[in-house]
Amino acid sequence: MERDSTGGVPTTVRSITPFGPDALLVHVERADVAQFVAALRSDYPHLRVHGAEQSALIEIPPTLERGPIVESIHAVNLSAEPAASETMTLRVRYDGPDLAAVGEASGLSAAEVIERHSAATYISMFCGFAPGFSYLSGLDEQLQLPRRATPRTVVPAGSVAIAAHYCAVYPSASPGGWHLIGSCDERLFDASATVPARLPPGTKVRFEPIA
Amino acid sequence: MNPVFEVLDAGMLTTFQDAGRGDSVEFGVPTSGPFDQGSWRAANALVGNSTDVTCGGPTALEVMLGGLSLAASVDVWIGISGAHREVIVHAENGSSRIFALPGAIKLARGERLQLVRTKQGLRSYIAVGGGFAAALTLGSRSWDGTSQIGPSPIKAGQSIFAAEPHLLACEPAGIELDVPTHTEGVTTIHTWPGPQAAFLSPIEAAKTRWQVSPDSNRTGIRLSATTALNAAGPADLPSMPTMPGVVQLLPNGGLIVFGPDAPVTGGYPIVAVVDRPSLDALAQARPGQVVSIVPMSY
Repeated sequence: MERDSTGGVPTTVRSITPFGPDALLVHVERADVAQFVAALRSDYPHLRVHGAEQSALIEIPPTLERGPIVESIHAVNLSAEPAASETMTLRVRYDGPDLAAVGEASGLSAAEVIERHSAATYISMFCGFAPGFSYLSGLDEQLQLPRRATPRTVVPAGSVAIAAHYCAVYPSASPGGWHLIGSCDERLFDASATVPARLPPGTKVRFEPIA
Repeated sequence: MNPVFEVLDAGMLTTFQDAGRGDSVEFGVPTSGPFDQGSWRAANALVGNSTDVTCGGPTALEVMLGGLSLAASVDVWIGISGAHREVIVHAENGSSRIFALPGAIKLARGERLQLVRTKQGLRSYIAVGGGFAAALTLGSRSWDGTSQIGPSPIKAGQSIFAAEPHLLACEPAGIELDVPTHTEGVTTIHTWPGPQAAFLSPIEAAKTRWQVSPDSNRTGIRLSATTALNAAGPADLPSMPTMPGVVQLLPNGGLIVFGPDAPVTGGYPIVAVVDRPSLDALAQARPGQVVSIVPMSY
């Protein structure tokens, strides 16, 4: 968070830009996305708000005055501790086809990759790409690698994967370019559930290795 | 429950669409809903349904291309608006009547409605009083083809049910509608600069002759440049949040304009965003249709 020019309260928002005629894009720090989106959704429960890596999108019908909304956005203050949330533990078989390659690329043995990956506590920052695909922040820096040069045409459902800053579990079979390090049997998306994503934004996640 | 229609021929692709899933974007679920919102509203208005909602609401049938044949199981008023300029009603005694569209038509029980493949435009909407009944998923009856969520496209032999059967035979108030003008030779769309507008200048976009590619659908309308294009972009940017109307520049130099079933985040450069009327116009653009971009300023 940066201090504003008066040296006063730290601001979460880096910039607000129009996003077409009916929406605004707000740039925030990567680590603030989940909390920021939660704060905006709480201020404006009737507006569609969702986040991605370093920004959040707010759809604003043309009938609404933008001024008050822009002021609210600037006023969001995340300096308070986020509400405590439960930690979801996912049991993982570290049997992914890219485990060895990830080790080589990061200068670690496969065992060290597993140890570092499962030692972290992750936070779901946002969902995107597919229903229930949650981008989990908290990935050990040494495991942060660019996506695969050649994506796979099919990644099996339940694949535990990493790329760049994030870890994710594929909710269903799809093409994918992330590094597959393991698999889990958890159901990540259930359209009939009240909360259809298993790891909605704000959820804390840990991975527990199983044989 | 008594059906309102029996499906004799399902047509190319006929799906249930209400206003969409309003509150599920945070779970990675697209809003979905009608591709041509204007025509969906018009069809519903013809039978007295209010569409002043941002999600859920009255469910209509989105008919892509046509080839649809429905037999009425009860007396029913229907509203049709979109690409089709006429609908054929076959009576049980073998006689037929042709009605001009858009319009509201009363079908008597036993009569058969036929929407042939349209020669211009692409999508029409069929609405009944109170809307159709179909399985609800995350607050909506819309079919999302990308996520495979919602009631499946209709099939021959299927029964279609009404959400409010007592409204089906109510004569609507009668409204005047403008005939949609989606069907001119060139589809004009208005674009506003996106966060990565630097990768495709508005001047370049405006002077390029774009054409709708065959691999276009509810996920998005792909546009290929038919003239040499001076644009390039990285394939791999931090994911941005997206919405229908987003215009991405693809690594092959083409564009994709996000439709109702497009994913809610994306990593290709977002060079522009189109407005709702432009998206409605693209919903009616057939493969090969020439598209002209008119850049707008904030």
